[in-house]
Amino acid sequence: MDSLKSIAACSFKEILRQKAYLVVLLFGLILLGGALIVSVLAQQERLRMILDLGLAAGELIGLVLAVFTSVNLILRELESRTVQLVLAHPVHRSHYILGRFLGAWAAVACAMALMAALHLGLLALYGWRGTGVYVLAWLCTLGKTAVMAALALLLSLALSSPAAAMAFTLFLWMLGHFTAEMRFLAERSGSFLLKWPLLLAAFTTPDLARFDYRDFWSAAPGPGASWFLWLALYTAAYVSTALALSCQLFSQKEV
Amino acid sequence: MSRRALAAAALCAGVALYAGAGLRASFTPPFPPLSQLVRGPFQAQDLHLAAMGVRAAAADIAWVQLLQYAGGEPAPTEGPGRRYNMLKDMTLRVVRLDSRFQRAYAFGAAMLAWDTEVQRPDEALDILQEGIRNNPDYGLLRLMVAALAYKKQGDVPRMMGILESSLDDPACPLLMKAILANIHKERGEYAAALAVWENMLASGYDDASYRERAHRQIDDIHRLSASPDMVGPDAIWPATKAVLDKFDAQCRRMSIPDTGHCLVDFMAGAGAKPAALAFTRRLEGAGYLRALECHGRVSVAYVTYPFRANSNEGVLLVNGRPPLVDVSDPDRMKDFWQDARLKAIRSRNPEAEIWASDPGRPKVARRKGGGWRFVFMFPVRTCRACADLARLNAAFDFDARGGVLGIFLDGVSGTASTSSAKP
Repeated sequence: MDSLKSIAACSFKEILRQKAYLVVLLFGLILLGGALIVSVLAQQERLRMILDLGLAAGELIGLVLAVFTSVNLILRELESRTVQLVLAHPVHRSHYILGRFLGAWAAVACAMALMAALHLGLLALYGWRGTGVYVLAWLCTLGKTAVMAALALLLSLALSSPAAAMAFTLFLWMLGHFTAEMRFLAERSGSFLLKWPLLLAAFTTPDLARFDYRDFWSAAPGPGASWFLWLALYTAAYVSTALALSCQLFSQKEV
Repeated sequence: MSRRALAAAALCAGVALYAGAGLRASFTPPFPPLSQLVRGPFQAQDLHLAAMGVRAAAADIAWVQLLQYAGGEPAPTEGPGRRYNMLKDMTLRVVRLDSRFQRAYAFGAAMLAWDTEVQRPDEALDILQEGIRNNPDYGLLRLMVAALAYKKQGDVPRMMGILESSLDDPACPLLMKAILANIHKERGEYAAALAVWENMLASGYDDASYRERAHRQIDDIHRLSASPDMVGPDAIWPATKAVLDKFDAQCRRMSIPDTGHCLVDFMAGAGAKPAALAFTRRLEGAGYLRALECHGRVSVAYVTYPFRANSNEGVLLVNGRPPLVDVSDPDRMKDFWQDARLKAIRSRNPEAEIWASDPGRPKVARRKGGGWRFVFMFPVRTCRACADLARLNAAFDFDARGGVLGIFLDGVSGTASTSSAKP
C-alpha cells in the first residue's frame, strides 16, 4: 500500500512539473476569460453563458489533460526503460498501474479545482448563488474524466502507440455521447447483423451523456439522490474494469 | 495475476452494466433526441457540439446567433411577407439543443407574434406550444398563448393586460418589454409606455444598448406627451346617447356662430377631459373626437361634427406633420382628375365630383422603407344621392417620423370592394 501511495505522489508531482500541463491549464484560464467576453453578446442570459461555457471549458481541459497524461503515463516510461528502476523494487505491477493512474487523475482534479475556483469567483461577481449544484456538476465532470483517463490508459497499453491511443480515446469520447441513439437504433433495427454490434457498442462504450449533469440540473423534476449513487457506482465500476484490464495487459508486457 | 485481473475486470464490468441500467431507470436527461436538431446552415455546428457533450453551451452559442439574426437587417431576399423567415427555425434550434432554455421560447415567440416586421402568430404559437410541453412549470409561456389568442381576436386591451402582467417575471425577455412599450406608444398611451421603459431600467439590467434605447424612448415619449398638438386617447369624448340627447336639446337650435361655443361649453359641463376640450377647440367647436386609432406617429381621428347637415362623421389624420390632415378636403385631391380614367368619367359626366365627406375607415399598411399608408375609398358621383360612377382609392403617405409624403391616387374601380364600416 505504501508503494501505491509513493507512486501516486511521485506521478502527481511529475505531472504538475510538466510544461504541457501548465500550458493546458493556462489555456483553460484563457477559455474562462473568453467566456466572460463572449457572454456580453448573450444579453439577459449572460450569467447562464458564463456558467455553461466555463463548465464546458473545465470539462474540455480536464479531458485533454486526462487523455494526454494517461496515454503517456506508462508508454513513456516503457520506452525510456525507467519503469525498470521502479519495478526493480518490491512493487507489484498492479500497484504501479494504480499508483500512476491515481497520481495522474489527482493532477487533473487539481487543475479542474483551480479552474472551478476561478470560475465560481467570476460567477459570484455576477450574482450566481447555486454552489450546491455547481459542485455536483464538477464532481460529475470529474467522474467523466476519470473514466476517460482509465480508458486512455487501457488503450495506450493495448495499442502501444500514443497517437493511436489518443485517437481511439477521443473517438470513444464522442461515441460515449451517442449511446442512447445507439440503443434506439438497435431497438429499431430489424437486421441481426446491425442490431447486436450496435447493442454491444452501446453497452461497452461509456455512457458519457449521463455525466452531463451541468446540462440538465434545471430539469424539473431533476435527478434524485439515487441517481447520483448509481452514477458513482457506474463510474467506479467502469474505471475499475478499465484498470483491471490495464493491469492484465501490463502484467504481460516485457519490460 | 492474469486470471485475478481478468476476473476482477469481468466482475466490475458486470457491476458497471448493472449500474448503467440503474442510471437509465432512475432518470432520463430531458434532451430532445439528436434527430430533432434543426436542419439548416448550423446543423454541423450543433451536431459537433452535441457530440462533444456540451449541449447547454451549444444552446448558448445558438442563442447568441439567434440574437444576432434578430437584431440584424432582414436579408434582401426575404420578401415583405417573410421578413426574418428563419426566425422560427433559429429559435427551435436553441430549444432543441436545450429544451429548458425558457427565455429563447419567449423571445422567439414574442418577435414572431408582435414585431411589426414579422407578424407570424401561428409560428409563434408553435414555439409556445413546444415550450409549454417541455416546461410545464413555466407560466410566462401560457400567458403569451393567452395574449396571442386575444391578439388574433383583435382584443388589444386584453392582450396588453396579459402581457403587462408578465413584466415582473425575471424570465420576461427585454424584447417583450420593448414590444409592449412600443404598442403603448403607438396607441398614444404614453404613461403606460413610460412605465414599461422605466420598469426595464429599474430591473437593473446592465446592457448598455438597451439602457440607451430606453433612455432615448423615455425622452421621446416625454417630448411627444408634452406637445400641445398631440392627440391621445385622453382627447376622446365618450358621449352617451343620453348626453347627446341633452346636447341636441341645448345646442341644435342655436345660430351657427354660437354653436362652437355651445359644444365646448356643453362638453365642459358634461365633464369632458381637458384634452377632449382642447381638441374640440382646435376644430373651432365644430366637432369632437369619437375614436382614435394609432399607427406609429400618425393616428386616425374619427370625429363627429354634430352641426353638419348631411354627414356628421369625419376623419382626420393627426399627430403627424402637419399635425392635422382633413382627408375629406377636396382641394387635396384635385390632381386626381389628371388620371385618364377619371378624365373619361368627367368627360361623360361634367358634374362628377369626388365625394369625400364620409371617408369611413381607412386601410392601413406599412410603407416599404418605413412609415405608413392610409388608403380611403371615395365614390365619384354627380350628387350626394346619385349612383357611384366609380370609386377611387386615395392614399395618404407618411414617413416613419410622421411627415406627410403626399396624397396619391391608388386605383380607380367601378365597384366598391372594401369595407367602409365605422369604428
